[in-house]
Formats: sequence, structure tokens, C-alpha cells
Amino acid sequence: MKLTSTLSLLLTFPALASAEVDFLRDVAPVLLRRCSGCHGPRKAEGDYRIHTFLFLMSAGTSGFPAVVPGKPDESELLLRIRETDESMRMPQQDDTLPITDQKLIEQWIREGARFEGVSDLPLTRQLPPRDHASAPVQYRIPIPIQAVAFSHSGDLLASSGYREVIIWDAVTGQLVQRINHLPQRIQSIDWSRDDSLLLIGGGVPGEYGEVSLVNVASGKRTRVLATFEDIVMDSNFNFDHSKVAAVSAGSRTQVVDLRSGQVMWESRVHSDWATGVTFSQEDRFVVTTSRDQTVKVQDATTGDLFTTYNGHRKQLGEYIGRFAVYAIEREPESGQLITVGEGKAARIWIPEQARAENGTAADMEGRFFKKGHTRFIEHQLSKPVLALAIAEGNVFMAGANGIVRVYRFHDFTHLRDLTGNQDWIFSLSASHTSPYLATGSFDGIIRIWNYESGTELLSFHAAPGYPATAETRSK
Amino acid sequence: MKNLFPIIPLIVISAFAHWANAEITTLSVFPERVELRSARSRMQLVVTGIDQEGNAVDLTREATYRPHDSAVQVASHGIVTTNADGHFSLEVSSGGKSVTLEVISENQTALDPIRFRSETAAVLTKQGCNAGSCHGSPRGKGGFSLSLFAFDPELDKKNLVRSGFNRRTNIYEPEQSLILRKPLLQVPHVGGKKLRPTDVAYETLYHWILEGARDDPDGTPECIGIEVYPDAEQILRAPAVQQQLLVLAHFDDGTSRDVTRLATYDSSSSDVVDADPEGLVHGQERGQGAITVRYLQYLESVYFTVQRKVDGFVWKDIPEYNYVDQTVNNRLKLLQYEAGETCSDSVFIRRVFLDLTGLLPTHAETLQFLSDRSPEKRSNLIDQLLASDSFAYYQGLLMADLMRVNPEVLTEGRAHLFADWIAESIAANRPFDEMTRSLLTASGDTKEVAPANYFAAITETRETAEATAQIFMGSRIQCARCHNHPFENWTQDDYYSIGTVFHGIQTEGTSVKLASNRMMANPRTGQSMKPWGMKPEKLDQFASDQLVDARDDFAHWLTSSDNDYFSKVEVNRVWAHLFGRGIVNPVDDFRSSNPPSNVELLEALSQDFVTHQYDRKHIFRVICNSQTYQRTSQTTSQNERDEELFSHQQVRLLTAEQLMDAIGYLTGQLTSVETINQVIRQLRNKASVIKQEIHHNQPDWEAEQQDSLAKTAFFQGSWWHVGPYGKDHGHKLNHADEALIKAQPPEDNLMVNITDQPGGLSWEWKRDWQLGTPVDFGKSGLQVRYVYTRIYANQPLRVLMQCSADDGMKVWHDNRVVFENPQLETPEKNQTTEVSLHKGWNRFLIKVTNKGGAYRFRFNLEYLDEGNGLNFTPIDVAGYAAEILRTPPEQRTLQQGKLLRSYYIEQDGRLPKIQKQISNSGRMDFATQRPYPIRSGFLKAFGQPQRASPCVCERESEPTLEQALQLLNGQTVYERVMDSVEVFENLKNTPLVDQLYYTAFSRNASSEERQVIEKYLTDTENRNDAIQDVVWAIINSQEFMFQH
Repeated sequence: MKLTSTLSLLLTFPALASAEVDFLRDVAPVLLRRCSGCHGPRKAEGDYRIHTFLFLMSAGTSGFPAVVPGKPDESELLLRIRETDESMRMPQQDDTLPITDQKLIEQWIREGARFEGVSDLPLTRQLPPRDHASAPVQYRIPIPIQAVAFSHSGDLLASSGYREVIIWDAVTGQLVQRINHLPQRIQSIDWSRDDSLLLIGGGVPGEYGEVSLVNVASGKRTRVLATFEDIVMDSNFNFDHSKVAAVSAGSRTQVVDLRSGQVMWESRVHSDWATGVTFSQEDRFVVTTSRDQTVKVQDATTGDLFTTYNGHRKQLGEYIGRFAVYAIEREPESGQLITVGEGKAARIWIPEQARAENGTAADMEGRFFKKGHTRFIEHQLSKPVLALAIAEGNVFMAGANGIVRVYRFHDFTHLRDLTGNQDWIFSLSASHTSPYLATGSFDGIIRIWNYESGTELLSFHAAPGYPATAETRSK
Repeated sequence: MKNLFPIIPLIVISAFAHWANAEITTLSVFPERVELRSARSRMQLVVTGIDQEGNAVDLTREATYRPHDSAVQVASHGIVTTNADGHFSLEVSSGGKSVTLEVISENQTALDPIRFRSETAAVLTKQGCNAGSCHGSPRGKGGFSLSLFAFDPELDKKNLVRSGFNRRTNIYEPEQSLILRKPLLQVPHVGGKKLRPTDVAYETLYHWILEGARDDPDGTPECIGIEVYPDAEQILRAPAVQQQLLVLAHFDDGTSRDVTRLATYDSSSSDVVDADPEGLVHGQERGQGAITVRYLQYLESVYFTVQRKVDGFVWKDIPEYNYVDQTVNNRLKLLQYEAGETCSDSVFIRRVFLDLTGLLPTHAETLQFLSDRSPEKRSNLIDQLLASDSFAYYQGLLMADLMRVNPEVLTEGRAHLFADWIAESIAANRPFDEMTRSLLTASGDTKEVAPANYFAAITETRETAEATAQIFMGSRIQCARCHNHPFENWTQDDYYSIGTVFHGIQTEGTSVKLASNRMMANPRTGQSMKPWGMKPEKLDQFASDQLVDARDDFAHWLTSSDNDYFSKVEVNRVWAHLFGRGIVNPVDDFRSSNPPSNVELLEALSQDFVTHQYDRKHIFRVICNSQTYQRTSQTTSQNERDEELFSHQQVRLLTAEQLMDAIGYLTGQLTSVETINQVIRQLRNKASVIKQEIHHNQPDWEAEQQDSLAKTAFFQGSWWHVGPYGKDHGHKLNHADEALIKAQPPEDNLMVNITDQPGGLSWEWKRDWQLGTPVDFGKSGLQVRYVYTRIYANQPLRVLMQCSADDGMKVWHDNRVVFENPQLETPEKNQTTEVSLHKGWNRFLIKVTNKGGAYRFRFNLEYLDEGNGLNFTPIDVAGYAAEILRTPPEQRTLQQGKLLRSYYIEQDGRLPKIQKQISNSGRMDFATQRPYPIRSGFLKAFGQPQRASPCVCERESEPTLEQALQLLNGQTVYERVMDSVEVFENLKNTPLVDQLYYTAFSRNASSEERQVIEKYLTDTENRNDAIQDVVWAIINSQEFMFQH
């Protein structure tokens, strides 16, 4: 019976049978989308998982081989997808797979179930980089600004758009350039030393992340450095711009050597979204923050875990609480690290000392009580701090409150607040050449301030074509 | 396309269609006028016809809709929409009748954005996103959390839109939003497929995101309630087993919207009735169930009865003794179950004895009843049992379970006192509302004021609020601690408002008192909640410094006839006790989504209870006299499937206490309770004679006491105490000193106003304190207390004052500081000071300070002088009594008179002794008659509650292996069976079998049973062993362990 129906289907779609199927390009995305919710890293119904090739090929509780190369009609995977009895058919409690997808899987099995990849590595991370659709010509509505960055020359400001990076004149707020066909969301932008390249990190929430290099002159994405199974939350160059580190909402860290173009190492040391990344003084460590309330310090060359900084989840002593960590910066003079997130204080600390203080289990209680070397900037913002910047001895913090707090780094003096912004601030950038600070917020507005005088210089909707763009005003 | 509701059997639809062509007598449409006041407005019509037999039937899907204007469209399932403004009309017809409706349409071309708080929030509930098992828990799932059933829209908006770096919504391309792609399974979702593009939820979320994912602008109408049509109970008669619902949301601007598609539908029993997402109810099997409609925080339930023809069912008339039978039988006829026959006299006497007194009827009582020829013998027996002490004790035990009367908590005899108060209230048949009020408003020393122990047993405010709601309102409001109650209209604000009622009550040692007008705050909003039920005119007073006991108004509200929960909950408890199942079940889970199995019956009982001034015995009497109560527990093929309509009685395992006493009776180890009550009556007679003597002798006794007081150099008066003042008051304690010096306690004004203590503190009279006896306050942090006493000197006198305290003490004698030591280094060592007493009353104010840790003091005066013909040996008269004795009788208050009388009774000693005899007379041997329970492995195995919660569920009724072991060879059974030999060895076989059978089963042994037993007794070598075997076998028989 089944054989006959398959044959008749084959005859109906002869064209499909001819082109060769590529597993990672054609089959894996379908399986990941429709099956991995129940048969993946977090749930394994019927003791069967499909998120790595090795798992995909192993039988579940039924004992029937999932995939028999060359024999679609003996492969449980396909049989269950084609099943007509609703109680047996996969996916359960969902629509059947479209015939075209079923045919792809069948053809792949018939052609020998070939796979060119690493069989025990999650498939999500081996998918080829995506091509991205075009950005809107005109914005119907401004979108949240997740990243802003002043160029090293100081006259340009890059901001995140929808599948694009938009470059503005930092003084007038006029549109200079749009770089199209980038990931749907851009979470992080950094300029190369000579302002010729942009390092961008972004992706599609819940399904894809990438970190890439973009050539400003040609307006093209030139290299995809690494891909991720979830959106890239932050990426950064090292001191001499020879390496790049990026972290994703899939809790993964990857470090790429720009000379060889190879991923040097990758890790998954966090148990929740990784939110920020930086290289420490002299490129010794890659330091990553996470919603899991920890900051991980990993060796920049090998990826080995050096220490975990637990200053955001203290259960005893001062500054008690458990706080997600959202942003990290390195103070360039002293090399101290600043980390912020939820809670009412930023933490200033040094990786080597954090490790020395970690001690052993035996002195745990005393150690927790000890204040340690960490110093705190009590910003007292009652809402999460999402963005952090540092320039000319000043520390800037902003987030869900909508205001920017400015502190002097060496003595933590609260210098001033930059107020006037209404919505959550997601991104900050301080100019390298003048006392300017740019903020990007949820309502799609970029504001540029003189942080020494506290005056707002400029504000505009960073959305070409959105009516309000024309109303750019100078103060 | 795919059929969303494949469960509707096609046969039902076709049968229905055929049926619905029949003639109808009346056609009606709800609403009577359609108002569509915004572009997206729609209105679900509900079309109802009345058939030839007078039964209502839903014709919404059958009717023909003819709009008189093309601007009006009606979908085949009765949904009206318009595309232009104006006044139109619409004709609805079916079965030869028709109705014309007015359709008013406005604002059809104006923007009508999705409302976040009344639409987006609702669909999150409808799709199940914010259920407690998914994202509705505090930690959420997969890092994404929502508020449970959208009770906190602020939080939901934050987490949907801004939190997580705007990960979940995509305002540029809404269809790319994770919040849509995950439940659509376009991106893996551990929660599975929860959304389809055709769902209203998709459309709502999509447009809300497209419009900017914003909160509603100021001035957006807020939902203030919902209305469900139809709301009355619906009877779905097969084959017409569908009913369309209409859910209207009313807004604070006076408008209403049809939210049928946005509301969520849950069934209390989905095998009987369920509803699809469009609000169409489908009847399934024969039975009853509720569809609960949830929209935002509002819940309404509609009750459904599904009637299906039962083959061979014919209603057999059965006697109806009162309204209980009528209402029960109405339901049975409707759902086609047969009513059970009346049980035999043997079954009845055993049942009614166990239910009312907890005890088996004795052999003699059974014989007497069985031989009684009076037609009223059953109701006579009911009256007799209701009047008995055993009834009061046993029902008191059950009530005390809920009030947590536990001697380990209520120490110093308080458990006994409280339990006796309950039993006495039941014996006196105090109106239940009045009893409840006196319980809920009680304060004072719990060693004296029995009902105040309610607050000593449960000291935490929230627990008091929860227990009170559960016991008296049948509501489990615990959920509302952290969020609005998911299944009832209790909000978090309501919860803390009830909490405030009890928040000012302070328990300290054995005293329960109103200490302040503290309010509880809703932890989510931080807002302090006004006390529930307080009359508006008292609220101002409550907000001021003046102490107001919020419990008074609350208890009044609770027990008022407007609050029908109160009466329903109590009659339902009585019912559940007599049938093993409540009309609402469980008895403390009243909510609209848990419908009564017989609305009419519960209503009638509740009305009767209110009409009879909350007379519990009346309700017991009515129910026990009904044929329904007296039904056999044997089922027939026509009622064996009934579990909730009371067509037959339930076979119930005896409760732990019943079984314990039943074994005691059977084995002859318990004297019958009648005999004990006889002894008690005699003792009471004796007591009343003594009372008269005391009354007669008191004047002489008083004269004697006064004489000895006059001859003594000095004696003490009453002692008073105020405090503690905690650390927070430290900086103002000097003010306290000043205030207290001025405000020493006159007997009738107990309030001390100290500026920093809102409402002041009450002087508390300390009956037991006296000179020279150390007082221990236990342990505390930094605290200050004040003590006041008066000393009467018959002449000027020098005395040696001895003070000791841990940690500090200061003493004023007539407002002059005579001793001060902020910290006594060696607490136990006396610090002595000489003090001169003047003739008359000398006032002493003592301040006792604690820095931390142990907290105690001792104050004493010793004689220095001799002579003057006065007696210098201290006299043994309590201070307060001495004070009253010094007051001429005509100046004494009523309270003083009473106190002196009870002091005399105490001194006399005879009455307390008799009281003790009464309370210990054999009653303590019974498990069902004790003032508080004894604990044993046997009782525990059979489900004796620990009295740690106000839930009847604490008493477990599930059979367990432990029970079998206890009965087979547990210590209790073993000992009693062994001891029974002594009682029975001299009985001949026939009377022995009579004795055992009538006691165990309230019936005679059948000739076959008798033959087997007598043969065994005769044939066994050692007859005593045989007796044990027989007794043991009876205990282990089903007939003994169960009530029928």
C-alpha cells in the first residue's frame, strides 16, 4: 500500500527527484523548525532527538531505525511523518509536513542520507550563512535602536536598522549611507581602526545569529565570521583588531582569528543568554556577561575557563541579590572591568583578583561575606541597565529608565544625568574625538548629547522615510 | 481545510437539524438591539425558540437572517457585522416565527486599534500562554514569563515588548515576531503548537504588534465586568445538545462589546459538557456541569444539564416527606435516575446514631427502637439524638477539627476550654451566625475567654484570613496571596483587605488583643488595603489613631443574610456530613466553576437556615427526616451510576473516632454514653446545690475577709501591665514614662495614649501576679514594659522594697522615683530600698527594660516595722480580690461582683472539683466525645486529622494498607478483643450472639449466621478463644467497618 502511494507521488513530481538534495541546506532547516521543539536539546519525546546528526540517525524508544540510507520506506523518521493515523503521525498536534518537505526528506534518504558536517555538533551551528532580504525602502514605523557607534573619525554615526546598518552625519543627523542585506536585527556595531570596515552582530531571534564584516565603501557584507543558533547579542574586536569575539542568546561564545578566518574556539559556559563580551587588558581573556547572573572569564587563546565572577549574585554581605548582567566595558587606562545589569549598582573588578578571591569551598561563607576587591557604583536606577559606555574617564549607563547617568571613573562621582529621553535606551556610543554621546532607544530615536555640558545637540528618528526624519532639529 | 472540531459527531448535527424544523411557539433573540459602535465591533446573536412542550432550544445556527440593508452582514452562526454607519433592521426567523431587531452602527470608518488591556491580554489567556504551568508562573518558561491570566498587564507589556532586548515582538514585520512564530511552531517551541493563523488570538496579536505593540492610550475604556447570555441554568435535551453563548464585556464609559471570541471556556466536567473557542457549548453524556467563562479577571459560570433518554426508565413515585425530597427528586426525574427505597429500621438506627453522635446504638437502644410501633419513631429518635450531649460533643469535635483545637498549641487547658465552648454552643443550639460573630470578635485572656483561642490557634494574619474564608465562606483564597484567584472572583486586593481585618490582632502569651489599626498592603501594588466589610462611617475612625476592631463589621458582613455564602456553606457542611458528599463538593471549595449538584436543594436549605435564625439542629432535623436521607445504600441498575444526585445513600467507612468507639462498644470496653451522661447529670445537680450554698454564705465570707484585711499592716491590690514597646519606640520612651505616670489604670478606663503608639496601648489586668513572685516574659529583643500595682497600708509604714530584673528596672512610688537601675548586673540578686508607705492606697509604677535575651522581674515588699496591734504576717488574699473587698458592695461594678464571686468559688474549692469530675467522667474514654482528640496509631491510620489546617480534607477517607494491619493485628484491636472475654465469658451462646450482633450491626443474626457462630463457640476446645475469634471476625467484617 504505502509503496504504491509513494510511487504514484513520485510520478506526480518527477522534477523534484532530479536535483540533488543537500542535507544542511535543504533538510536540516525543516527538521529543526518542525521537530526540534519536542525532539531537541530541551525535550526528548520518545527518547528521540534530531538536533545533531548523530542523534537524528539513532533510533528512539520504538527501536526502529530512524533513517536507513537508501531506503525511505524503512526509515521510521519518514514513515512517521507520512503516517495517516493522527495519533501516530509526526509532528503531533500540528499540521502535517507539506508534501514538498516530505519529498525532500525522502529524496535525501534515497540518495544515501549523505551528510557533510560534524555529526555530534548541533545542526543549528552548521547551517550555511543565510542570505538576507532587503531592508525597507521607507520605514512605516521607527524600530528600536539596538546599536549605535561613532566612527573613529568622529564625524559618522552608524545605527542598527531593519536588515541594514544606517550611517548618519554625526553633526547634522543627515542620512549618509545605508548598507543593505544584513541580518534582520543588528545588536552590535563596531568600526575598524581606519573606519573602512564594520563589525556587526545580529540575527533572527530564536533561530539564527551571525557576526560579519561589512565593507563601508562597497556597502557589502564581505565575510560571515561565524554563525549561531540564536541571535548574536554582542561582538567586539580585540586590542589590535586581529580577533573578534561574539556571544549569542543561545548562550554561546565564539572567537574568530581574522587573519586565518577560522573560529579559534567556542564555548557554552552560560546557562542563559550571553549578553555582552569584551577582551580584557592585553587580550588575555575574553569576558562574557549573561542573564544567568554570572560573568565568565575565558582564556582568549584557548577558551579555557579562567574564573567565574559571581559579584552579581551575592547571597550574603553587601549588595545582596541575584541580578542578570547585560553589559560589560573595559576601562582602557587601568584595564578594570565594569559590568552592569539588574540591581542598583555597577561592579568594577579585575579578573585575576576575582579568581584569587574565589577560594575553596571550605571558606565559602566567609568569602561570601567578604567585600572583596569589587567596587560599586551605586547608580540607584530602579530598572535594568542595558547599555554602558566609557570615554575620557567618564562612565555612562542607561537602560529601562530612559536617562543616562554620567560618572567620573576614578572617584565614582555622579557628574550629571542626561534626561529628556522617554523610552528604554538599548544602546550607547561615546565619540573618540569630542565630548559627544549617542543614545539609541526603543522608540527609534537617536539623540546626541554633549556630555560635558549635559545639553542635547540633536535628536532624530533613525528610520529613513519615516515622516519624522524630516523634522530633525538642532539645538 | 482542517475541521477544528472533529469531536462533534455528525449524527448529532443531522439529528438536531431534523428536530429543529419542528414548530415552535415563541422565538426570541438576545440582545434585543444590536449596537456596533466601532469598526471592528461584532455581535453574536443568541436565538432561542420555545417548543410545544415549553422547552427552550438554541436555534442560533438554524435561524435565517435577513438584513434589510446590505450594510449589515450576518454569518450563518449568528454574528452581525456592519460596514457603514446608520440605523438598520434585521429579521431573524425560524420554525415559522420571526423577530426584527434594530442594528445601530457607528464609527465604522474611524480607526479602531487593538486594545492591549482588554484584547491582547485576553487572548494570551485564551491560548493558554499565561497559564500557571506555562509562562504564567513567576519564573516563566524558557526565560519568558507572563502574569497569571494577565492579572498584571504592565508586566506583560514589558515582557512581551521591551524586555529581552525586544526579542519577542517585531513591529516592522509583525509576522516575524517570536511571540507568533513559536506557538505557530515556525520556530521550535517546547510548549508545542498553541496557535493557528486562523485563531482570533493570531489576528489580535498580529494587529496589536503592527500598531506598535503599545499600551492603551489614557482614557481607553476599562472593563468593569462581564455578562454571559444565557446565564441561567440550561437544560440541553438530546438531540438538541448545543447552546451558543454570548459574552458581553461592559466598560467604564458605558459601552459594551461582544467578547465571545476573546473569552476562555473551561468545563467542570468535560465528559458532560464542553465549549469551543467560539463559545458554542456541546452537550456530551447525560449529567451536569458548568462552563466557566473567563475574560480578563472576570469569571462567570453557566450551569448545564444534559438530558438523554435512558432506555426503560420510568419514574416510580416515592414518598416525599419535605422539600429536601421534592428538590432531590426533581433532579432525579430530569436526569432519569431512580430514587432509592427507604432503608430498614436496623440500617436507619445505626446510620443516624453514627451520623449524629458518632456512636453505635447500644444493644438496648436498638431493641427498643426496633420494637417501637409508633409511626413517628424515626423522627422521635432524631429529636432525641439532637437533644443528647453526645450529639453536641461529636459535632463539636468535627467543628474543633477545623478550628485547630490542638492541646499542643493551646496549652494550659485552653484546648479543653475552647472545645467545651464549642460543644456547649452546639448543645445550647446557639444560632450559628451569633456563635460565629462571638468567635470572630473574641479577645482577652484565652485561659478565660474560650472563643479567643481561635486567634491563639492561628496566629499568622494571612492564615487567619485564609482559615476564616475557608471555614465560613467555603472559599480557598490562598491563591490570592500572590495573584488574583485563578478560578474565582477573588482578587489580590480582596485578599489583603480581609487580611487587614485581622492584622491588628496581637497574640502575646495567652492573651489575644487588638493592638493597632494596622493595614495589610498588597505586595504587588504596595497599596494598603482597607478592612473588608467595614462600614464607611467607621473608615475615618479606622484611619485615625483611635483603635477600631475591624472584626466587628467583618463578622457582621459575613453573617448577614445578604451574604449567602455563609448560610450555604454551613448547610452544605451539614449535608456532606450526613451523605458523605456535599451538594457542593468539596465543601470548602465554593466557586462558580464548581457548581452545586442540585442548585434548588442548596438554595432551599440555605433559605430555611436563614428563616430559622441559623438553627443548625433544625437543618439536621429536616435532612434526617427526609426520605432522601433514609434511602437505602443499595443501588439499582437505574441509579448505580449516580454519584452526586443523592438517589441512594453512600456506603461510608467509619471515621477513625467512630471506629475506635464502635470497637469499644462491641468489646464491652466502653460504658455506654447514656450511663456516663447519667453520672454527669447527678454531678450537675450536686453542683447547683453548692452554688446555692455559696450564694447564701458569701456575705459571711466577705465579712471575715474584710476583717482580716483591716487587721493586716498592708496588702496588695490589682496588678496591671502595659507593653511591650519595641525598639522602634526607643527614642520616645521618656514620653512614655510621663504619659504612664499620669495614666495609671483606673479599673474602667484601660486605655493609655502614648504619642508614638497609634491608638495607644491597653492596660491589661493580671489576675495571677502578686508580690514576691517572679514574672517571666520569655525572651525578646530590646523591649520596655510597664507594671502597675497598688498597696494598701492600714497605717504609715516603712517597708523594704526588693527589686530584681533582667535587665533593668525603675520604680515610681506615688509618682516619685524610688528606685532606678537601668541595668541590674546580677539579675537574680535583690536590690533593696527602704520605702515609706502612707495610710491608704500607695501607687507603684514599675518600668521593666530588656536589652535582649531573657526578660523577667520580681517586685516585693517586706515588713520592717512591728507592733501597733496589727498583723504583720502577710495575708493570703489575691490583690484584685482585696481591692474589691475594700470597695463597699453598692459601689462595686457588675464585673467586680462577678470576679469576687468566682474568687470565692475558687477559695471554696468544691465547685471546681465537681467541674473537673464532670469533664473527666468517662467522656475522656471515648474518641468521639472528648473535648480534644487523643492521638494513636490506630486513629491516625483511619484518618484522624492533625488539626493543622482548616480543611476537611485533612480527615482522610482513603482506604490504606495500614488500616488493614491495624484491624487485623494492631495493638488497639488486640487488647480490646482480649479484654472482651472477661465481659462475655459468662454469657450463654444465644445472648452472646444477640449482644454482639445488635451492637455491631443493629440487627439480629440470621439463623444461618447464628448457627455457624454457636457451633463454633460450642465446638472450640477453649470457649474463650472462640469468643475472641468471633469478636475479631466481626470487627474485620465489611458490615462493621462501614456505615450503610
